[in-house]
Amino acid sequence: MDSMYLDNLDESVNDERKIVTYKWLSLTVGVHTNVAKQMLYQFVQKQRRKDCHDLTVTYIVSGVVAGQAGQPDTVKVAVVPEDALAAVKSEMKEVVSVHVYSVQRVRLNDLSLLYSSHYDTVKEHINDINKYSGIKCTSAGLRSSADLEKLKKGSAYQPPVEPPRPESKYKPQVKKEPLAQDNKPVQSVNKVGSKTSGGKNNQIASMFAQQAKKVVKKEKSEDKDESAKPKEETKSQAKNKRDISSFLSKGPSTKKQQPVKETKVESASSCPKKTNASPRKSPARDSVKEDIIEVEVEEKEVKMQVDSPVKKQQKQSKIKAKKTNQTNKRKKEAEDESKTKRKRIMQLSDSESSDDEEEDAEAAKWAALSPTPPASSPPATLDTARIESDSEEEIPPTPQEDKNGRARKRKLVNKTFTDEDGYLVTKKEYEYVDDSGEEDAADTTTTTTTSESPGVSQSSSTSATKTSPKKTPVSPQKKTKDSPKKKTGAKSSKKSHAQDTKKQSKIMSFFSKK
Amino acid sequence: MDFSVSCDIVLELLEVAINLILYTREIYPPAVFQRRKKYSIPVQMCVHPGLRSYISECVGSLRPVLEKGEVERVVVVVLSPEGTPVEKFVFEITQHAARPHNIKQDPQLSRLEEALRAFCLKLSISDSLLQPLPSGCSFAVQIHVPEHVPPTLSANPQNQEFPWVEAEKEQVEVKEPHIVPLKTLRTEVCRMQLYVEESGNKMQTE
Repeated sequence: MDSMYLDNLDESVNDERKIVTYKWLSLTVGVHTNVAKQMLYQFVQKQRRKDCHDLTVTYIVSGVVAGQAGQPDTVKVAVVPEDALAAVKSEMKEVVSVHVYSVQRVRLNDLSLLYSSHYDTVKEHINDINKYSGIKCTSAGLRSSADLEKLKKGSAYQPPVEPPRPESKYKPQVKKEPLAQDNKPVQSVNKVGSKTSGGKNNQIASMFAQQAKKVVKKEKSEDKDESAKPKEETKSQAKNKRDISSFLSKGPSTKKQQPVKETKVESASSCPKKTNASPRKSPARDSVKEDIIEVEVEEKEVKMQVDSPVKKQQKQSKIKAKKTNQTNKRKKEAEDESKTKRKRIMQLSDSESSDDEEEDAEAAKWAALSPTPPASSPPATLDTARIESDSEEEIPPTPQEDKNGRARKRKLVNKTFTDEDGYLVTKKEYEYVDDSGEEDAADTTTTTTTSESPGVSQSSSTSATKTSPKKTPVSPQKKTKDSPKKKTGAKSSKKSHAQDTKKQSKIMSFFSKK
Repeated sequence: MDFSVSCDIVLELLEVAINLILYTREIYPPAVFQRRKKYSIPVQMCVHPGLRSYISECVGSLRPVLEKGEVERVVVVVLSPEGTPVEKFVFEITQHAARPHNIKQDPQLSRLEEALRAFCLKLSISDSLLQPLPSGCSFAVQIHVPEHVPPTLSANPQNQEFPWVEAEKEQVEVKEPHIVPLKTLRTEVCRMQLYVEESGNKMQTE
C-alpha cells in the first residue's frame, strides 16, 4: 500500500502533467497533510535518484526575518521555487519550517497556478477541509441550516411587525414589559434600515412579535400609515422620513418591520398623551401586555401579521388632534423623503395646525397614502397650502406674520456666478423661497428666483385642487372627512390667490367658520 | 439557431486563452501581464493598452461570425522572427445552440466554469509539452470559416476599421508539423478542442 502512492504520483505528475500540491494529495488520497508532504518528498527523492530531472519542486518556508533598523521582527511564510529556496532561507534569522509544497513537470513562471491547480478539489472538500489539517479546533462546527436561516433573516430585510390590538394599546404598563423581551426581535429587525432608536424599536418589535400570533392579516398600507405616525413623533424627522417613505413608496404589499415598530411606539407614547383613549385601543393594549408575557419572539411572518390588526384599528379609531398631527407629519414625511424642504413644512404645520386642519389633513393623508404616492410635488404643495391655510386661520390679517408663518420653501434654484477662473458657473442650490414670490437676500440672480416663485404659488394652487378629488375615492371610511378635505383643497387654492390679492383675511374667515 | 449564449462564452474564453498563450510562451515579457481573476482563478492578462486593444478587437470582431455559428477554427499562430509559423494553437470550435433545458441543468454555470478553469490550467502548463520557442516571435490570429462568410465579413461596416484579411499561405502552414493535443472541452454550449501544431524544427532560421 505504501508504494502505491508513489506509482500514483508518478502517473499524475509525469503522465498527466498535473501540478500536485500537498493539499491536493492529502484530499485526494485521504491522508493527513504531514503524511502528504512526506509522500511528495519521497517521490522527489526517488525521481531524482532515477535521474529524472524534469521535476520542479516548490517549497514553503516559514521563519522569522530580522527587522531592519528598529523595526520588529516579522514572521514570513513564502512559497518559493527550488532555485530560490537557499536564498530565502538565508535571509531568515530563524527558519521554523520547510517542506515540499508542490511537485510538477512544468516550469512555473506564475505561482498562482498552484492555486488554480487544486481549486476544484478544495471546493469539493470544503466542508471537511480540516479533516487532514494540522490546525484543529474542537469547538468549531458546521452551522446547522436553522442557524443559517436565522443569520440570513437577521441580515435580510424584514417586513414590519404588526402592531398590537387597539384595545390594550394605551396601557402604560405595557411599555416596561416589552423592554425586557427586546433583544431577539430587535436583532432581526435591526437591519431593516430603520433609524429609530433602539429601545423603542425593541419595545415595538417585541410587542408586535407577541401580537402577531393572534392577529389576522389585514391591509398593510393603512397599517403602515399608522405606524409611520408615531414614528415621526418619537424619532428624528430625518429618520422617520426615510423609513416611512421607503415603505410607503413600495405600496401596501411591502413588508417592513419599521411601520410595525412605529405603530407600537405611537401606541406606547401616545398612551399617556391621549386624553380620550378609544375603548378599542385600550383592550388592544391589554392584549398586547398579555401577549408579551405569554408569547415568545416571533419570526418575521408573525410580525407581518401584526401589521394588519394595527391598521384596522387605526382606520376605525377616531383620531384626535394629536393623532392627526402625527398623521400629518408622517404623511408629509413619508411621501417625500428626498425633499428636505418637507422637513420645514412639517415643523411649521406641527406648530400651527389647528384641529380642523388636522382632521382634514389626516383624512387627506389617508387617501393619499393608500395608493402609490402621487408625485411628491402635489402633496408637498398641498402641505404648503395647508400650512398657508393654517397660518391664515390662526394668524389673521397681518401680512408680515403670514409670510413668516408660511413655510419658506426650500427650492432648488439655479445660481449662476463667475468662478475664480472667469468661467460662468451655474449651480443648483437650495434656497428658501416664499410662496408669495419674494426671494432670499442671498439670491444673486434675481431673474431665476422671481420667475420661480409665481410658478411655485401657481403650482401649489393647481396641485391643491388636483389632490382633493384624488383623495375622495380612496378613503371610503372617512367620508365625513371628505368634504372637509375638499374644502381644504379649495381653501388652499383660494388661499394662494387670496395671498396674491391680499384679501386673505376675508376669505379665510369665511372658510374657517365651518 | 440561437448561438448568442455560446458566442459570449466562447468569445470570453478566446480572449483569456490568447492572453494565456502570450504569457506562457513568453512572446511578450512577463511585465506586460497582470494577474486578473477569471472563472475564479487567477489568470495573466495583458495590461499594455495597444496589445490589449488589439486582442479585444480581434476577438470582438469575431462576434458576428460566431453568432451565426460559422467559425470552424480559431488559430493563434506564433510566427518566428522570419515570419514563418512555428506553432499554431488551434481552437476547434463546435457551437451548440442554447436550449433552455440545457442551461437550466447548470444554472450558475458552475460546471461550465469548472470546465473552463481546467481549460485555462492546461493551457498554462502547455510549455511542458512543447519545445521552447526562439526569441523575438510574434503572433497572429487566424480564423477558418466556410466559403460564404468572407464577403459578408468584409462588407460588415463594423469590420471596416479592423478588417479580416485573407491569410497568406506562408503564414498558415507549419513546416513538419507535430500535433500535440492539449485539451478537449465539452460543455452544453460548445465543444472546443485545443491542440498545437508545432514545427519540428523551431530554432532553424531560413
